[in-house]
Amino acid sequence: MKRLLFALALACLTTPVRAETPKTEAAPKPVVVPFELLPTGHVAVMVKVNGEGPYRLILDTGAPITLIDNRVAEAAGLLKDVPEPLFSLFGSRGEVKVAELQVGEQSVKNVTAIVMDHPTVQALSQALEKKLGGPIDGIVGFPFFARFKMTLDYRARTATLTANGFKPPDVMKDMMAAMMEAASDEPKVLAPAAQWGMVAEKAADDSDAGVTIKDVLAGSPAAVAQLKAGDRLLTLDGRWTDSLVDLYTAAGYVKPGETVAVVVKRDGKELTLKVKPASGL
Amino acid sequence: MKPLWSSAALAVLCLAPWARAAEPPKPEAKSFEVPYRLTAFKHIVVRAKINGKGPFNFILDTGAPALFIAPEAAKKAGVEPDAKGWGVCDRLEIEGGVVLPKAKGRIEKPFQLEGINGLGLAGVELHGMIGYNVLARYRMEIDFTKNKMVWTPLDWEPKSPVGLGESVRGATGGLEVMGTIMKYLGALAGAKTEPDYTLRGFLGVELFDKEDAEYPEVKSVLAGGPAAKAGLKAGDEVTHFQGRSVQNADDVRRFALKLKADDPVKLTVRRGKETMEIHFKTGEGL
Repeated sequence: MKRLLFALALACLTTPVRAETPKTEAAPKPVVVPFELLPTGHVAVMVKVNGEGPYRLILDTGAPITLIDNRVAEAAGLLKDVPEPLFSLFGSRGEVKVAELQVGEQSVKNVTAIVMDHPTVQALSQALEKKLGGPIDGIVGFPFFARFKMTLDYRARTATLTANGFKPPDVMKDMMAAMMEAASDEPKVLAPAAQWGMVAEKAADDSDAGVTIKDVLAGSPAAVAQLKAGDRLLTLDGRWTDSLVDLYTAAGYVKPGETVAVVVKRDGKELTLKVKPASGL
Repeated sequence: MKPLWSSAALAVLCLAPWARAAEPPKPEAKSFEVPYRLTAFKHIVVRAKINGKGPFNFILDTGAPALFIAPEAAKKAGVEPDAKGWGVCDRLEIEGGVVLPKAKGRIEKPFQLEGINGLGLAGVELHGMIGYNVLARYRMEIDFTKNKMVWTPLDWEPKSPVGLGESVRGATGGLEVMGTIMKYLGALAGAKTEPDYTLRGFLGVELFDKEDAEYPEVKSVLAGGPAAKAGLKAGDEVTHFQGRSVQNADDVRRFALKLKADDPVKLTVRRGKETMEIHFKTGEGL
């Protein structure tokens, strides 16, 4: 029964996915893209789709996908090979491949987008169209901006995009994997990436910030950094360590040989120590 | 039919409902490295403490006009909503050291979060979104090849976001239903919002890869650690871990990824001309 329902859950979210072939820009020059700050606080950028446009889209760090409405999709020739659906939710035509998506002067080739008339975008567009002198036609999301180091500056109203070689993973595939994991009964093991040489503890009824160092092994990186049993460890490499799960998660980011700061509270005072964990376990 | 539903499911994740005017909070002046995690849904999640409580998990969302705090989290932090649903956090601290006094936020849970939490898609429980009224106060550098962002406070007063009234604000066109559907499907599938965690066990071994060597070598064993007690010595070459052959320190680390505390370990080592098996149980620690 459980399996059946899970399959159903997957079916509702699945779409046939084509492999994404990202192209990294050869010269990683920063490109400054000016944006409009809408009265609602949204960031609007001018976007060319397959050379057509520019159209006004919202740059949204909270969007896992890029959305383009039917009007623009039609104009940019994105719907040529897409069959007309019998029934369509929010005018959705599913996933399409955009040969070139150009945001300001920065562009990406072969990027996926979903064609859909998002009701919130439409409502926003209708409300602001007169003031802006044109409509809002979609959302620029993760598959585009993830390929860049993106510096957002609301005061200057610019998004500076520098290609960083990052290949955005497929959101659908990762979502499936996450759903599988969420429904699995097996606990997730948190592994530190390097060896510190210390033991930490936290009592169940202890809700104060940090964890307590129970033991520091002689000669270990923790000992070399002068960590001591009884220290209250507050942060490790800038990450809060309010639980053992936090501590192991933070230690999962620090590679062997990397020197990072840890902040401990000892005798009521906060100390910052530098630790260089070893290659080991 | 299928792709249409899936598009709608993804579409619910875009654009939080916007809200009525909010007073922006005050900044501090210094650059901060802000740790984040990228979820399966490609959301940038940062942690924040409100009035010292938490940490709570927030999506960094330029598509949201303001800070949104789920009512449960607001309650824990003692943030009371006013008649219009706004609350003031006396102190909002974002992991990495960013502190905002008197941060104003909407006390409500956008329907998107119900769906993500219900399906366990973020791997953490999400408690809200950080949107324009907070984000606009910083220059933010987002780079997924690094595991921290860089936030620099900007010396300016961003305008309060303008609300467009109930008629527009409620215009989700039925998208909110997807949030509920996702939540119930997740519950039926037995999805957990956050996985159960367990901590990797401790061996007390430092390894290194000698040039041209066939196997990783024990550089040192920590006195009092499990491996030292079992008789492993510096200079030993590890040929097998749990019976699987290894060629370098990374192999050992990889094979040990799922080892919990108090799990049995079998190391096959070469000491001089001798080959021996060393058995012990992992301990606690890192």
